[in-house]
Amino acid sequence: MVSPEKPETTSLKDKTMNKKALCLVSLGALAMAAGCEQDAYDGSLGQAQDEIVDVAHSDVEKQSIGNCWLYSQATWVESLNLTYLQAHPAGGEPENVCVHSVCDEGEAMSSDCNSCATKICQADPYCCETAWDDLCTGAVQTLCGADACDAQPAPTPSQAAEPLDVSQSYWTYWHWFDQITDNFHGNEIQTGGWQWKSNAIVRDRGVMPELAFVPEDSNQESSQRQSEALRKINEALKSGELSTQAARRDGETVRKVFDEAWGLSEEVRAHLDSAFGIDGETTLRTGGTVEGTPIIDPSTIPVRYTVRSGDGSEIKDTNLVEAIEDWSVARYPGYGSANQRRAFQQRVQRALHDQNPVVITWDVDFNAMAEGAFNMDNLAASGGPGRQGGHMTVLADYEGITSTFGVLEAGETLDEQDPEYQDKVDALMGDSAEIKFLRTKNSWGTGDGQPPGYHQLYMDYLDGPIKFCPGEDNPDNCTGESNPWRDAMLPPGY
Amino acid sequence: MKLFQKTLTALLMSASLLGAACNDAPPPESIQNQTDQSLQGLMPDAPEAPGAFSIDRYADGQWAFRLIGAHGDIVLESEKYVQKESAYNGILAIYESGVVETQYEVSNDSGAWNFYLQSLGNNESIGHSRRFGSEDEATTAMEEARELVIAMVQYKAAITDGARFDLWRDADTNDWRFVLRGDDGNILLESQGYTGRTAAVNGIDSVRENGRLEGRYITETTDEGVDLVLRAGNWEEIARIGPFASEDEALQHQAALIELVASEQVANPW
Repeated sequence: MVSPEKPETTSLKDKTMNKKALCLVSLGALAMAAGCEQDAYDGSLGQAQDEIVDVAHSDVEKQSIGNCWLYSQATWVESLNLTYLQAHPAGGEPENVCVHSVCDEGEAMSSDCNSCATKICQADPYCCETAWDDLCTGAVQTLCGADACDAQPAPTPSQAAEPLDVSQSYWTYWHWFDQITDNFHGNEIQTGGWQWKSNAIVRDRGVMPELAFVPEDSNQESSQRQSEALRKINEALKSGELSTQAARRDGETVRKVFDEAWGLSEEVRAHLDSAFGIDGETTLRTGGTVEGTPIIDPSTIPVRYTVRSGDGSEIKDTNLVEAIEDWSVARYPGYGSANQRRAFQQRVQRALHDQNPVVITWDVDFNAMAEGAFNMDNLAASGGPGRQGGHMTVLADYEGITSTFGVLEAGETLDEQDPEYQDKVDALMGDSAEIKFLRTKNSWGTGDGQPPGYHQLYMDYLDGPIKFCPGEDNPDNCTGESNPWRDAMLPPGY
Repeated sequence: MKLFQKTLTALLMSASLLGAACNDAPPPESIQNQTDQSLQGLMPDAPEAPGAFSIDRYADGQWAFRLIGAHGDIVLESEKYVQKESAYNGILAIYESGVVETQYEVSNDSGAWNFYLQSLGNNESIGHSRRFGSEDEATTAMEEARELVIAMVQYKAAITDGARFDLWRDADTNDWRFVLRGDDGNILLESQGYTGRTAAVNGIDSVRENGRLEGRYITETTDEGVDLVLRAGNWEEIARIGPFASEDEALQHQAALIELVASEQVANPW
């Protein structure tokens, strides 16, 4: 079942200093050039760097603070974009022709046909879903400026073929900004969050390349700027410029403190001023603009995933905003029956086989971790629970056990030329098959994992139960049991 | 309103803050058995926020709050305010009025469908949806908006130590049980034993559904006093509390329960 030839992998960026090459793990049919950077995979681990499934992933990064949810969001966005670019190597080209002027009433327009349509549809999706009516034309002057009607409708230039290298620092900046300006009474920034928040940040603030926001983030595995900014802003909250409610509610003051704490260049500050105002309070959905800045409107970012309907699935090429609207979080039935859990696992398997980057939320107990794997043997050997907390990552592969073919290993791509290919897929998807472990791309750097940066989550661990010991460093204060696998974010129909 | 004001701060904060627990990178290999592990970034287990309110300024300088859903979508948006402070106050009104089904109304404006949420106090519009192409779409979105507001009210109870359901497995009988506790920690209702967790969770849902209806309660006189019993539509007992010293005392408790359950200010145990 192993692919007879090692599938090609391609390094899309030259980041040899820090293992940050974006690696497309692709099928041979895509005919990419030579392999990933060597240090992105240690061959001594005895595994191929290919997979049972074929989810495109960017490079592994390392969070320096507790914002894994923004790293998983970045991984998800980059993966969807990579998948699109694999299929459209000449460049992204979503449907982007304006069917009429934004100043004329008529049929619904494509949101990415020009920047004015993008703004108006961000504010009022009706204009791009149902009809471009008088309210849409009436919003032109407000959202696009007095000259918008003079401009001829023209397609937006296609998204460049260069893969995204999303700045998590940029999203983190806005996450903290929203916290403080929306009636903040604490003295310490909280770094955690969920998909609904990251989705809102993407839609309100767009995407900024790492190179454009904090340039050194693009050639370092971990962003030290984030941890440094966190320290400085917390100091400002406790006893500095942001210690009063009046200051916290004043976006201009908050932005000044932030820009200093983050060490933003004058050029970046000017871009943020231009896009969101000097007080940062205007968003892309309330009249902000990315024009003249390196900020990318999410509705212009091409992505690809699959949508399942009935027994089949079909490819969907669209933009990031639509992907955000399409994908949904489903809870893992940890307390359900074995059949219910298996049915959920099959949904995840199916999505992975269709090359979708499934996001999972799970509980970490570090005493269950050894040699890149989380399992109950490790937990038992450690003698009890360890440090715990939730985590969010994106799946890359899995290893399955079938009655017909035995173990079908992770790290080995099923070969579509193999006469038994479909039988093997069917066996893996069968009710009697077992998932041995899920392999997830992690955001803990490449210093650990197998292959480096990836962790194996054994099903016995994910199913649990494990002792639930919430709180910081408090393994002696267990309040019950929990099932570590919380949920998965899946594309439509899965 | 005071209760809402007291908790708005925590809510606005935690809506975007508590969210997902999240670990930063562990020290490699040596993570186990260390006592000086860096805990930066380790988040306590917290209930998942179903959405959030956001306050933003429009290009014309006016302010509005938005209720943000799971897809980062704008589920409900306020009218525009000149002052940012007014947007804060508008959010408080959503928490009170947004759980009440009759405060929502689907409307057709110039051919497009949308829905409005009206204030309980004066029935003035305090929020509206985006526009939809059909009445069905608007109605579905309206129902989803109300469910989201309810979930956020329940979430608020969870993060502010408000009233809550506790669910556990009895170590002696192996049965699953739940209780409804007030914000002072006192037990307000106590379930029967359930053989499975799913059945107990259904029991909690049943309390939410039936506990707001006066006709679902009966009193039972026992040797110790008077019990208040909550029953489902099929008259099966869901939960009970007692004994009370008198029928009047039991009925006072019933009235408080109805008000609490109808307000949705009760956290889930998960």
